[in-house]
Amino acid sequence: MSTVAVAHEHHAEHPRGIWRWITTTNHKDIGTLYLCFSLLMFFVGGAFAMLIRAELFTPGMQLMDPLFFNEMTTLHGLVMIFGAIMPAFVGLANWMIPMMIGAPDMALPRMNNWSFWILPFAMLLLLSTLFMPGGAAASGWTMYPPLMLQTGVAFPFTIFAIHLMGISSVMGAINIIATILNLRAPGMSLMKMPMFVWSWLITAYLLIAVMPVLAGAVTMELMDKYFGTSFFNAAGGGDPILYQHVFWFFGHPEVYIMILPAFGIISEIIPTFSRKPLFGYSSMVYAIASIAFLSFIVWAHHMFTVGMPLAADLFFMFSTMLIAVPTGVKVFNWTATMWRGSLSFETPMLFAIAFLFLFTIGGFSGVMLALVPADWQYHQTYFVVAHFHYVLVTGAAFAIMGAVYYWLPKWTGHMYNEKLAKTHFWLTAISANVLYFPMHFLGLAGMPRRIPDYPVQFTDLNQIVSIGGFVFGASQLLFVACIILCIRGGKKAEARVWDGAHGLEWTLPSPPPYHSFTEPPAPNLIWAHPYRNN
Amino acid sequence: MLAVEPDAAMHRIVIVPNRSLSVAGLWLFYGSIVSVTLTLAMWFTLQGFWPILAYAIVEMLLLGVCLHICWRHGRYGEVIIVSGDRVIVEKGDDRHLEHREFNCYWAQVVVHEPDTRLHPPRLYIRSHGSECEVGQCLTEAERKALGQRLAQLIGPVGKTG
Repeated sequence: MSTVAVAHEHHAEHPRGIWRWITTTNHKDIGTLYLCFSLLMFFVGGAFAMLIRAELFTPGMQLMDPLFFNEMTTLHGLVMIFGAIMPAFVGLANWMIPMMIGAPDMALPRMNNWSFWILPFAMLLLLSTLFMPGGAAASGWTMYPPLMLQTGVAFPFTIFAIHLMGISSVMGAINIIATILNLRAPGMSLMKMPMFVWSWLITAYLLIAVMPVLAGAVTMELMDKYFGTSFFNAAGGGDPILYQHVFWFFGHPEVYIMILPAFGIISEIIPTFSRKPLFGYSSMVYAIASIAFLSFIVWAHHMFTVGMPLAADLFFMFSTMLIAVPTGVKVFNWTATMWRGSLSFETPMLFAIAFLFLFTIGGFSGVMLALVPADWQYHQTYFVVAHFHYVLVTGAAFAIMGAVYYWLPKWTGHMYNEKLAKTHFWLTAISANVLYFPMHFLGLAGMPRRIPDYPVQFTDLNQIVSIGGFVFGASQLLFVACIILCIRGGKKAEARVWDGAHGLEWTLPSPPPYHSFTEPPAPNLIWAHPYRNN
Repeated sequence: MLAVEPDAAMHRIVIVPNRSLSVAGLWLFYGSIVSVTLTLAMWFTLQGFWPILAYAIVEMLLLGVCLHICWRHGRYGEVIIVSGDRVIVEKGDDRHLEHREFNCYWAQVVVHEPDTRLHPPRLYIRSHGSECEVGQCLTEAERKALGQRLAQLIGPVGKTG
């Protein structure tokens, strides 16, 4: 016990050292933890990708046996999705949502701490399966039976790791929803929320709706293996194709879970560097909601070749093509926001523009894949690999990198090195296209995905792809250098880092105080938000 | 959120958490997500995939508990009235209201340091061996401001020694 005066000295303090990071309930600390973890996992997943590309540099078997190659493709997918992309978006949400809506912290701070700290253990468990007898799962990130059921000792550990990552995601989503709905500053109605907040509200809703489906699907696999059930076991009257239906009912919304927050980020960056309000704010919100709704009725486009009835093929083809409408609205609105804007091309804007071009390429190849007759040709080829990497790397990952450069001065209080960042951008953007664009041609020429060896006619393109991959991987060291240099020092950043930025987060000093808004922000700051042409 | 009503004779400090979600909005949201999730889970159950329903129910219960905690925190409030020689503290929610009175000249504003740094310091008004926590729903900085304000308003006997 102490007097008030003594206690006040303590108020400015918070735990130091490792204990601070383990016990923290502060949204900024937890956001930092998520972002650092996802960056680490980006490199772990990237290392697996480098091994894959090294093996595929020339035809024949060079570096690894086919089983280990399949383990690499599986872990690359799982680590990148559940370890890199999703935690990065949750980290950005943790850092930015309370500041954007004028809240002091997240609604459920202790649950926030748990939802982060589950993740490293889940990922360690998943990575430890590499060292178990029989190796890690080699069935691809989709974990299709019966191949998944042939996994050795690693099988239950992989399933448990998936459950832990799912629990972490659900707890994170509940926290984000509770924060957005309950802790908005007075005057900030739903239709005045920043687009990033809107995109996360809808993403969290999707996450909560579909996570039980993933949990159920992998549990049924576990039961088939250890408890004698036959959900997916054809010998016992089950059907492995049904697993694909169940998995993709989760899997397609999952794809949108990884891209909707990216839409929100791009909707923050483009108005700032165009110095104009976002064009069509309401239509952007409705477009995101429409995409989320459509994500529930398109799952079977991942499995056109399993032999569905024609009516089902047609339904899923048309519903998938329908997604192009709200996505087109978004691309149009971003372009219209830039139209006659006072544009400047700092690194976040470069990433946003690259996103606009390259995500659209991924979208177009998605429309191609939605066509049933064409999909019969493209299915299980490198065309599909090209498509989803254009969506998830030049889409989601580029948006995350843009977001890091956009908000890094706010987080650290220092400006990053613009020259180094632009070098990182150009190397990344060029190498990503060298890496992924030739994959379209490999796929169209008939090269199957998930194979460690290939006919010699694919050699040239594979070598180009691998070189692109190595340059892309090495370029990310510049990203790390930019972040470290910015944390360590640099030109002092102002509260409003970018002259075109207008959200509540820019009313706080850079770096923001440990507790963001100790007083509710003035309503006029909310009304002055850039999404309104008032 | 902290509001002080300035009055020469009486100081009234009202502390309520800022909550942007109405009860109707809460039910609308929870009802929509429960109906969507459980409808999907029921559909899967009818196809024979009953484990999905089990997970969906557990998840909806967790969401419900979390939203209930948020809602309950939103019903909480504190009113501190310093009038004449009395310090009156009323706090609680619509189910449980606590009323405490202290003598203004004998009351002290004290801070209990937490056992671990995981928890924030807590602010109390204390007199004659009895104490009452105030500012429970405030951030540390807001609690600091409240402590300073209360220290100005009460306890001149303690101050003068």
